[in-house]
Amino acid sequence: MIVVQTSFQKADLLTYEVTHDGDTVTVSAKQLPGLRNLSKVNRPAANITITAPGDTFVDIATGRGDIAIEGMRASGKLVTSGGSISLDDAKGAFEGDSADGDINIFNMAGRVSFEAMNGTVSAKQSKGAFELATSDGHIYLQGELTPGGRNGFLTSNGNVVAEIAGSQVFEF
Amino acid sequence: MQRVWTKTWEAGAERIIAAGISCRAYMAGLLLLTFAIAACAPNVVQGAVQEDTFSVGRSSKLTVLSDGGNIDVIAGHPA
Repeated sequence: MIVVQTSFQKADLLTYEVTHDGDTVTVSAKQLPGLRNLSKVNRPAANITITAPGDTFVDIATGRGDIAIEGMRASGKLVTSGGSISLDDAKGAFEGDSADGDINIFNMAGRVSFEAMNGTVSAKQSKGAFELATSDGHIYLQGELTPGGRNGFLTSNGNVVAEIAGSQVFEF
Repeated sequence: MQRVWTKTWEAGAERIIAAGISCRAYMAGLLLLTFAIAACAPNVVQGAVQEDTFSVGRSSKLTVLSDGGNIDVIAGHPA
């Protein structure tokens, strides 16, 4: 069962739709066309909380806002153009991008590939393969790398701090 | 001459006071009208919550496309 709960800000400036087709649920919250240069208080927003089976594939994109994933066990793609991403207690393969926001991964097992534009990328108490990048910020990794995984850490303006646990031997 | 000037000054002051009262009444009216419009506007829903529930199978997929707002996805309900 998938439960979608949404609260609105300036709902009259939004088109909101939830559709269901087989096992796929699609939520769309689009700003009405022609609205530009709205001040922060006048911008429409849909704050969406979804409860879903853990093995649901998630594909999420928001123009302004934070994305938080908790306890999911499948995989997914997460993109925000203005906000942070947090992935907590997840398993599987996740990828995504954030702009002007941090990416925080905690207690993850699996494969992640995330890039922040102007933000810190952090993966803690996690195990798997990590490809982490940021254009302006630090990268922190505290966890275990699985053998054979693809790992990469790239920052244009910041530090990379890695605390690798486990008995595997790696070369940087 | 001085008496005429005093009378003129008093009349002017009365007009200024009257204009001030009129201005304040106008502003108060405008404020009330703004509140009334905001209260009656049906689509400006602050904090209203919409809930939708769907049954899905084990290989479910969730897609969210939003122009603005926070999105939380929590593992909870079984398929």
